[in-house]
Formats: sequence, structure tokens, C-alpha cells
Amino acid sequence: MKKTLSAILLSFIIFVANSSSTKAQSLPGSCPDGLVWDPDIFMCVTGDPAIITCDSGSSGYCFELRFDDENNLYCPWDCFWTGKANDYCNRFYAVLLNLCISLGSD
Amino acid sequence: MRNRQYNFLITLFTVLSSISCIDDARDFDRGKNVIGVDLDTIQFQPSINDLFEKVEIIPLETRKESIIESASRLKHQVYNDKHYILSVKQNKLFVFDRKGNFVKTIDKIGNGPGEYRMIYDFEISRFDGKLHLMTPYGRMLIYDSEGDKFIESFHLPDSIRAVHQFKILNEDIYVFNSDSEKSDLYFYSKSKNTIVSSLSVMPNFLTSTPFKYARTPFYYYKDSLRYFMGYDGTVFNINPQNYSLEKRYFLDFGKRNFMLENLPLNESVVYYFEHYKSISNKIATGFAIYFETDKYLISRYSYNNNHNYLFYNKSNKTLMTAFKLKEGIQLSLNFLEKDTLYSFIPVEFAHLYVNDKVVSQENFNRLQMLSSDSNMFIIKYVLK
Repeated sequence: MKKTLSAILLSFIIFVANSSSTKAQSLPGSCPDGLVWDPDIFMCVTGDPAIITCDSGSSGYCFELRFDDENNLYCPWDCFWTGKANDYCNRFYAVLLNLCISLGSD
Repeated sequence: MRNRQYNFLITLFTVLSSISCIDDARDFDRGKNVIGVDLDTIQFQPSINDLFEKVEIIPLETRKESIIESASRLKHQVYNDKHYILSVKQNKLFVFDRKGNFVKTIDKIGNGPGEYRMIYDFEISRFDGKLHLMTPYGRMLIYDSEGDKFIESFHLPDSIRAVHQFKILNEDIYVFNSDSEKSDLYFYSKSKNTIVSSLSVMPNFLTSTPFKYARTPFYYYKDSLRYFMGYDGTVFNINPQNYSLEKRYFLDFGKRNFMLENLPLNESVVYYFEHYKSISNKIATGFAIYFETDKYLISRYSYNNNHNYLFYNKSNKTLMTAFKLKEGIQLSLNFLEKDTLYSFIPVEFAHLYVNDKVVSQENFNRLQMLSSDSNMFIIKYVLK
């Protein structure tokens, strides 16, 4: 039962992941008028964080979904900084994938 | 369309280059650096007494400000008799004494000098005792050993957009690992304020998959810095003179060796996870962790759908491997300090890793006193 549920959940995740490619439309660094982009700290000098806008309409930083298992049972999927505007990791997928692994493991 | 063909050719070239590098890596001095692992005859399921002198439980003090929220993405170092624990998820460094009493947090989130927005790695330098905090966007912040006084910072060139781990090779050279740049390793000279060398070792598409290290691809052995390949377990020594990788160890599983050329290119991370699960039933791969002492080379690898630990005794050349020990518990080995291994376990998972057969009654009682609201605890394994 657990395995069936796991398989259904994983299929859903693969479908969602494939159908909503989240490519960035704009590069980080577009600061409001009068402010300067500081590549050193990836933010405008006022202190506003750099935001990228994605095709899905979401916004976020430049992260990528990665597998990083350490202990066999802790959530191995997480979002990692890449600094590339075309990477966008939706934490929702990461949570779903971790749930899926919990269901699939013994 | 032309772009796609171009990308395909680039990827093919990268993988073929890596494959030639791997073949080269396997061309070790047989008998010296190649460790043959026959999974049909090796001792599975050793006893805790075969591996460790003693096992201790150290509860970390529970206070509002001392709670480590997740056991994922932690980094650890013992320095001056204190445990320094970086929680990447919480962006702060927790300090506890040897007995687990809370000392303080080092938390510098902000936009001013000596402050950061994210922190991915840290180290207290064995050369000058200074605390180094690394941001993933390539800034290194340096403080006194207590983390109280900000001393200086440096930044990698803007062309390097993301780094994920670092180690200090000598007084001047820092080695950064990036999972998303063209090169995997960048050698930065602090005195020259420039990258003096870089190396591409692993195909880029592997970096988000389970066919790689967990937490870090580096480890120290005495004064040497090692780097390992997560997919096939090859260990290299990093030469501090010319920044090259010298083959050090290769675990030869024979017919169960992982072959990179059999792995499909540029699929989704979910695909690679499923593929990993299906092949790690019969192939040894996913070399996530390495430790080395004078006596042992220890690795965690995936085989038979489990995370197994391999213990290679360097002096008598014997091997043991374990997913579960005879005593019925799993091993969780996360950090090495001299001859002692440490693991950080949330209380709700204690039963998987500890029972009254592997620790003394006194240590077991310490565990029994914890509740679901308690901070996580340390398992301290002292190697034989």
C-alpha cells in the first residue's frame, strides 16, 4: 500500500516537475531607479534582496532542487544556491519529494 | 535546434572527458591503492565491539536559543574542547561544550560589514585559529576564534556565482567546491587575491543527483586534504604544491563497480533518484561520506538499497561492512575528529541508532530522560 501510494505521488511529482519548467525571465540585478546592483553581495545597495521572476509567475532566489541525503531518513531534497537566474527551486516540490521518500522507505 | 545539438555535443564531450579521467583513476598501483571489496564474502553485520571502543550519548542542552531544528545540512568541528555546529538551514553556528552545555550561537545575519544573508560552510583554521564563515555567493568572512570580532573578508571573482563547500589547504590557499560552476574545484590565493587554479572533475549533471557526496566531497587526513568522487568512490589527494589530484584509493567492487558511461545524460533529478534506487540494489554507488584515520578508511556507500558503512583496516587490510549491527541498530557516522566519530540525532529517531546493548546503562539513562521537545543529541563513537 505504501509503495503504491509512493508510486502515485512520485508520478504526480514528475508530471508537475516536467509540466512547469520554471525558467527565469529576468536576471538578478534589476534594481529600482537610482540604486546600484552590488554583485558582491547579490543585492541592491539599499539592502533589498535580489529577486528573480520565473515563468510560473513565482519569484525567488537562484536555487536548484538537489538530492543531499545524509542520514538515510532526514529529508534529502532541498534547494541549493546556484547563482544562476535560470534555476528556480520551488520548496513545495522539495517537501513533496521528501514526503514521497518517507512513504517509500521502511 | 542548432543550440540543442551544440549543447548535446558539449555534454557528450564533458562526459567522455570524465570517463577517460575515471579510467585513468582506476589505473591505480594495484595492491597499494586499490582495495578489493568482494561483497559475497565480506563480513556483514559486525558487532559494535568489532568497531568501537565505546559509544557515548551527549544530549545537547535544550534552550529556546539552542535548538537545532534539523539534522540535515549540518557541519561540525570540535575546537578548543567545544562543539561548533553549523546549521545551514538556520544560517547560524551553535557552540556547545564537550558535555553538551549550550555556550552561544554565532549569528551574523545582516547587511553590514562582517554580516551575511546565507552561510553554507565554516571552518576554524588549523593554521591561525580564525573562524571562517563562507557564503554560497563566494564571500569569506573571517573572525577571531570565538566569532566575536570581525577581522576581514575576501570575495571570489564575480565570474564564480556559487560555491558550496571549502577547505583550507595551507596558510594561503583555500579550495572551494562548486556544484554549479564549470569547474568543481577553485584554488584561491589569499595573498594574491586571485584564483590560481581550477579543476573540472565531475560531470555537471551529476551534482544534483544521489550519485555524489553528501555534505562535502572533502576530508582531512592529518595535514593532507582529500577529495572523493561520489559516484564510484575514487579518493584523491590534493597536492598543495601544484593543485593537482593524485589518486589515493579506489574501492574495487569488481562486477558491482559503478560505470558512469551506463548512466543516461541530462535527465531530471527525479529520474536519477529512481535510477539510483534501481541500480543500487546490485551496484555499489552513492559514496556519500569518507573518513580516514591512521587505522581506518571508512566510507558510506549504497548497495542492496541500503546505506552501508565500509571499514577498511589499513594495517591488517581486513574489511567489514554494515547497514545494521548485530545489536540491531543502524550506524550514523557524520563527522570525524581524530579517532572519534560523531552523529547528531533528533530524539524521535533515537530508537534506530541506540539501544541498551550498545551503550552503558548510564548513557542509556541519559537518553531516557529526553523528551520529544528536547534538543537533538550527539552519539560519540570512539574507534578501536
